[in-house]
Amino acid sequence: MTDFLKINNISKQFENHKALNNVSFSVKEASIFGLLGPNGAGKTTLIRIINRIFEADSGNILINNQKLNPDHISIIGYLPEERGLYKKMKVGEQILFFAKLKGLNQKQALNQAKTWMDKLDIEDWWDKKVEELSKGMQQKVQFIITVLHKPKLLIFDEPFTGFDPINVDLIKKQILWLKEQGTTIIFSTHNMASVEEICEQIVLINKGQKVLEGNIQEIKNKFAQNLYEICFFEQPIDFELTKKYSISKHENKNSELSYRVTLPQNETNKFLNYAADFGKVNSFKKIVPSLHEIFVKVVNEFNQTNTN
Amino acid sequence: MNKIGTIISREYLSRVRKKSFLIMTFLTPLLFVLIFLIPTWLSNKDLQGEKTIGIVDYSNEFNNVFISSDNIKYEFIQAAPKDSLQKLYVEKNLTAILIIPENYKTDSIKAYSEFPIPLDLKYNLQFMINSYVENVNLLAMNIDPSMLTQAKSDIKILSDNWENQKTNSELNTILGFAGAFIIYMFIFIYGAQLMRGTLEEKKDRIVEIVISSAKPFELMLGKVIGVAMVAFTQFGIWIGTIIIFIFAGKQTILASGGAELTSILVSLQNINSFSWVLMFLFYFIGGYLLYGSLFAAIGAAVDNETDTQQFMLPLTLPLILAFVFAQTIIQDPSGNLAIIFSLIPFTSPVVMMVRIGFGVPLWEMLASGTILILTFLLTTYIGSKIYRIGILSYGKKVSYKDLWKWIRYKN
Repeated sequence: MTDFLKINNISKQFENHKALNNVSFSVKEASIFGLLGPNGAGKTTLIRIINRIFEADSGNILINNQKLNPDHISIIGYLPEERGLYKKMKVGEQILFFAKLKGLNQKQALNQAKTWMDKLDIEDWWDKKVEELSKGMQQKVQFIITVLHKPKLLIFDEPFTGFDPINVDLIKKQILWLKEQGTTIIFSTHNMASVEEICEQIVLINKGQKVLEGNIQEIKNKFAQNLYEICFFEQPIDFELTKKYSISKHENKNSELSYRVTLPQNETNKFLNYAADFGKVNSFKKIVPSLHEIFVKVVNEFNQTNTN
Repeated sequence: MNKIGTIISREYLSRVRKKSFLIMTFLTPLLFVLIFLIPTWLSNKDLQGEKTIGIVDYSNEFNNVFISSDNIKYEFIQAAPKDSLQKLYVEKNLTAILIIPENYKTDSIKAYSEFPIPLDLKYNLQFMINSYVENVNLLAMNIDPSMLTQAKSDIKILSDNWENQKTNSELNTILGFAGAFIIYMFIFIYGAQLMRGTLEEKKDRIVEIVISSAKPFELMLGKVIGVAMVAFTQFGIWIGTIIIFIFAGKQTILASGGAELTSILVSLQNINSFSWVLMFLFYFIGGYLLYGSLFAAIGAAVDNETDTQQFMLPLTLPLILAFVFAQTIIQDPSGNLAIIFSLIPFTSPVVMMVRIGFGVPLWEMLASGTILILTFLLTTYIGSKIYRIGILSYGKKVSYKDLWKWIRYKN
């Protein structure tokens, strides 16, 4: 797979703070890419630079190996975190208006609008005013506006806010479908569970700098510290008192008889044999940190080293 | 260009389709008529309460001088000390008591009342007293007052231009004033609409989606033009209606031979209506663009309607001043005051409309127009600078210092 979007050494200075400091990464074509970071990290600034709302002070951006230029606006779809619609306007007119702004003609716009409204089960809302809709319904209209012009690059900033679980699944399904159609998708969110679920690659930025980058599975394995969890059917006697391994009792939420142990490389079989002497083993697994934990750890460590 | 067109058409259609547009279009002329009619109606004598003036005449000369009318009665009162007069004043609910001393030519005549008497009543009393005294004086000089009446003359001047068309100063004044008022009102109404529209896009967070597809300047320009077209539509409806009325009513007016109406109609045709409309359009567009982009910039700079106040004042003040000065300028349409305010671009759109009917030298017209065009280019530039930064700035209350920083902000 080739890189569809390349961010090269982007920096952006606002009056008294550096919003982005030499950020680089690339996004593969037809993949879903997670752009993560705490509030105020510079995500929105970067997204706005890609959308040509801001201009970078230095660095450049390549889309499909072409320098970012005004023509690219029509192949980008952007769902901002802060989003809204003209309240007094009818749903249909509103969708057509934004489609035309993206360069579609009346016929194309009408065609696409009908298709998407059908897909999201809102085909009857054409003549409804936006102010008559619930928040979730408005988000559906907003989603359609973002994807209507068949963009090659989609940028979603917190796309699931305002949706109930049923509609989250509906939208997720559409995002995955768009990816299958070859769309490159940047996904920015604080919801780490959804990132783990649908993203392949991520980049984590904090205070304008890139602090972590890579494939999610690889990152998780890197952060796993050879920590294992073992559970027994019956209470093993004096298991944690052994000198051979450092074992600690661990309360897990299912109130199982569970212990945690840190093992050296390739010692799992040896340890299991040893543990079997203490009782009947129910389960044994490696503790892999969640993306959430990695996020918090990396950001905290970065903030500490940068304030000291 | 296509994007600006899309923005213009959204802006235009969403406003014209509103019920309030229709209501305003038909209610405003009605309001105009009312504004002209109400003062006439209020001055109707029936509405003013009846007044009674008590008169104490020590000179005994004024028995037949004061003639009571429908709403002012005069009543002669026996001479009495001041405190009993005051009692009488309260008892009889008098408006005032006029005391004429025996030697009224040297000692002054006084009107006593709780509150100062109205100015026109005072002038009225003075006029009656002076006319009487003048008559007495004339008789003393052996002149018959009726001869004086005969000697009086009442000659009126008719204004005419070199093409021998009847012109009409009154009509020109009215037309000029109407034009000035419409421009003044339109800039206010549509400037405020522009500001509110911009604020809505910002407050409802629509703007980020729009400017990821179109440049902020395109959005601003589209809005400014779209709203202007709404104003033209409204104005067009009014002019159209007037023309239809004139054409439909022309025969009836001529046939009925209403001399005054006919003369107005003739003057209206003689005034170069085409050039009036042309000048109106120029100064309306110029003035609207000058103020409009600044109104839009205010809408973009603030987060909510209450914060607009502090920036509105410096913008509305010159406009209000222009309208106030217009009333003085109409007395002397080619005086120095008129020339100065027709050169200042913030007042020229209103002031020039007042002057047009009375002929403005070509150089003044060109200078005023050029300055207006240059200034609106400048304000549009400044407005768009504030707009493009303000539209994405949330949370902080903006000060004049911030605006200045935004204007100087590069790229």
